[in-house]
Amino acid sequence: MKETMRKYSVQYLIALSIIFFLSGGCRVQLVADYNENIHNEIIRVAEEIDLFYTRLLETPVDERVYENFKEDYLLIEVDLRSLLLQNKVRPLNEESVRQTEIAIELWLDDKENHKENNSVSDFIIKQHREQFSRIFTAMAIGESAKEE
Amino acid sequence: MSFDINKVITEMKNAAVSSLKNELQKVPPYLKVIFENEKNALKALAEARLKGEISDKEFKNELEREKKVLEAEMLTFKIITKAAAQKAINAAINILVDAVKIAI
Repeated sequence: MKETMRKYSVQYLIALSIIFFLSGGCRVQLVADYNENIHNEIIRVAEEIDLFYTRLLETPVDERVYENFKEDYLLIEVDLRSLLLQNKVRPLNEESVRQTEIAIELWLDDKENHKENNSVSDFIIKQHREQFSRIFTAMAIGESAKEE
Repeated sequence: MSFDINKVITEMKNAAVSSLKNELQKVPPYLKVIFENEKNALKALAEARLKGEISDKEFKNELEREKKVLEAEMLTFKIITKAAAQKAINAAINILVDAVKIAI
């Protein structure tokens, strides 16, 4: 009796495997597929933000008025929102979506503070440049981890 | 038709364990970098506040920002862990599928 049941179990397992194999459903997916374009976009936006802070730091303190940098804030905001959209349309990608949302929240916070104070100190520029570098490194490593 | 389920299960387990070991070895070095970065950021913030370089309002805002940066970094671990589990399961399934293909 036991032997018969074991035989049937094995046959059942084999049949199940064949069905899985033939239907192409034999791959488990827990995270979004790796996307090289998004990986490159993460690096590109990271460079754009780094350039922004480096230029801001090179500008004399009394010339760091919001109006001189308004255009850059808007362009980078658009790029960040584009990255968010590209991440949102991918299934099983909630972590990367949240990472991009955090980058947008920090960017908008920067923009509002610059507008309110009409200048930014060297200390804050260096801190925020480092913060974005860390977020984008996390995003890039996360995207790479999805690679098969 | 030859199909040794015990042998296949052992090979599936070995494939999964090997895949997991390989993927998760990336975690400790990155974790070390994250906490080193966080330590430096918080140290710089505390020093700046003590020197009066930043106001109390700025200090609190910077702490909130640091929390979000850390959250973003921790999310990468979630991705690495999920991806590692995915690769391990698929490595095990591939063993099963290959064994079935050979058997039939």
